[in-house]
Amino acid sequence: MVSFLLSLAALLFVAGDTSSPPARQWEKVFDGSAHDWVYAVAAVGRDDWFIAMDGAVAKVTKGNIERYATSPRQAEGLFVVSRDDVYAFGDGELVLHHDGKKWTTEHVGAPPPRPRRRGTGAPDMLRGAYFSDATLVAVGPSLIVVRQPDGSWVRPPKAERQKLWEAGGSGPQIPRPRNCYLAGWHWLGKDRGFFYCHDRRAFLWHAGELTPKGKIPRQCDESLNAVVEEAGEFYAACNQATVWKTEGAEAWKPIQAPKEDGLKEIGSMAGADGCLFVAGPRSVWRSCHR
Amino acid sequence: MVETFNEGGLDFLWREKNKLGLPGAITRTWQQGLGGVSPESHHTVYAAKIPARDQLLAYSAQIAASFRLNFHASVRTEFGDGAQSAVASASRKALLVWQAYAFLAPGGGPYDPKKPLREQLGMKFGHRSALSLYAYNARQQGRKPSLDDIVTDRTLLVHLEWFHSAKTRAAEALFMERLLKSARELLPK
Repeated sequence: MVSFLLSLAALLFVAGDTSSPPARQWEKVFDGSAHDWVYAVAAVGRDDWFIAMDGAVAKVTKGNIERYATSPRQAEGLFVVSRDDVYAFGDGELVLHHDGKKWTTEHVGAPPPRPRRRGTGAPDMLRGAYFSDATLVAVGPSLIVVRQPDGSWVRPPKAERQKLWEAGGSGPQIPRPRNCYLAGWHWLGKDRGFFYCHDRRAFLWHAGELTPKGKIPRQCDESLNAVVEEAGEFYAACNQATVWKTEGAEAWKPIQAPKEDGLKEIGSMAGADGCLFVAGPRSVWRSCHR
Repeated sequence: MVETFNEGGLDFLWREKNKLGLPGAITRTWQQGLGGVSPESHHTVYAAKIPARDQLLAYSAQIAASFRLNFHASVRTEFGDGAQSAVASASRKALLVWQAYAFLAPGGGPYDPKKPLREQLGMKFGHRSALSLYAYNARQQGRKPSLDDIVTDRTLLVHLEWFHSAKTRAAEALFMERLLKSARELLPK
């Protein structure tokens, strides 16, 4: 009887832990509710971070927002190599570079069609980037451009294009764990990525080595919008504006998301200096451990 | 592999993949797409990357799932007790229009009779909004709500892109059906 009650208590504790994540302090650091929409967030420090927003990208330093217009192109993704090496990507083949001080336009194509008819292709769109060996590759739904040593960007030869596009969205050609049908891949850095299988098993891939990361929660199987690695743990932004964190080797625990009426999705997330940044459609929040 | 949002307009396929009723042997070859935010709706996109050969299947499954899940739930919400009889008595042409509408615009808030209809029309006037409008009109006229109202409607709704596109798709489906029937009559097996 005692063991039954203990088991029940343990079960209730686990259930409670899952349904009500521990309180977490979130600070709204960008509020675009008046006129701005947020597309992506990236961070290089607690007080140094970037936003891709309607018709512009912005560097935020200690609360001061410095905008750089991208119109008629729209920046849709950000990629951090280091504090003074940050990129923004968007439609119209937009590639911007921030060297820690200012933005430079490294590459553009023809202005994008407006309005864009949905579902008719996006041959001019770039959304993110990854490193193929030492070369930075920008990836879109179908477009691939590769950075050259002189800072210019070129389309790779046709023979390479498909391979680079596949690697951008699905990771490198590596032996996957047994019975793992790849469901999603997120690049975390050079030779480092996070992937999960259709049975929800997750793995860290680093320089050829695989480390199991448990089973992602069901909400993340429905949609895993962003994964970041911060202070040795992995954070995932998933369906229904839920945020999850690895705890120990293979457990995922929910963490409290920002509380705001109408916040139904977290589309982008970033981490730096012990701080986590999450972006909803119109706002960015920050939560720091120290 | 193709990305289903930019190369097909399916922005929720990844999130909905387990609700489509497709066997795992098919969906396990799918992957989450690049995602991001739609510049059109400003909401997160849940695209999938699927083998090119699965495009027709995915499209059909999504249309069927939107109708089976979203539309029937919306009819129950907006028509209340009259929902079951409304679906049972609806004409095939009306159901085809609603099927297309529910796929094109799976959401929508309720119609607000206090505001002019013209002000409410737009991208957010989803299939549920139209059901809500017809339910309201039926109440005003003291009759049961009917799904066939969408076929005979000549109000401002005809200017709504969703409405126009849904009717066009239904007309195309009926035309193809008639064509197939004629061809079979002309050239029996």
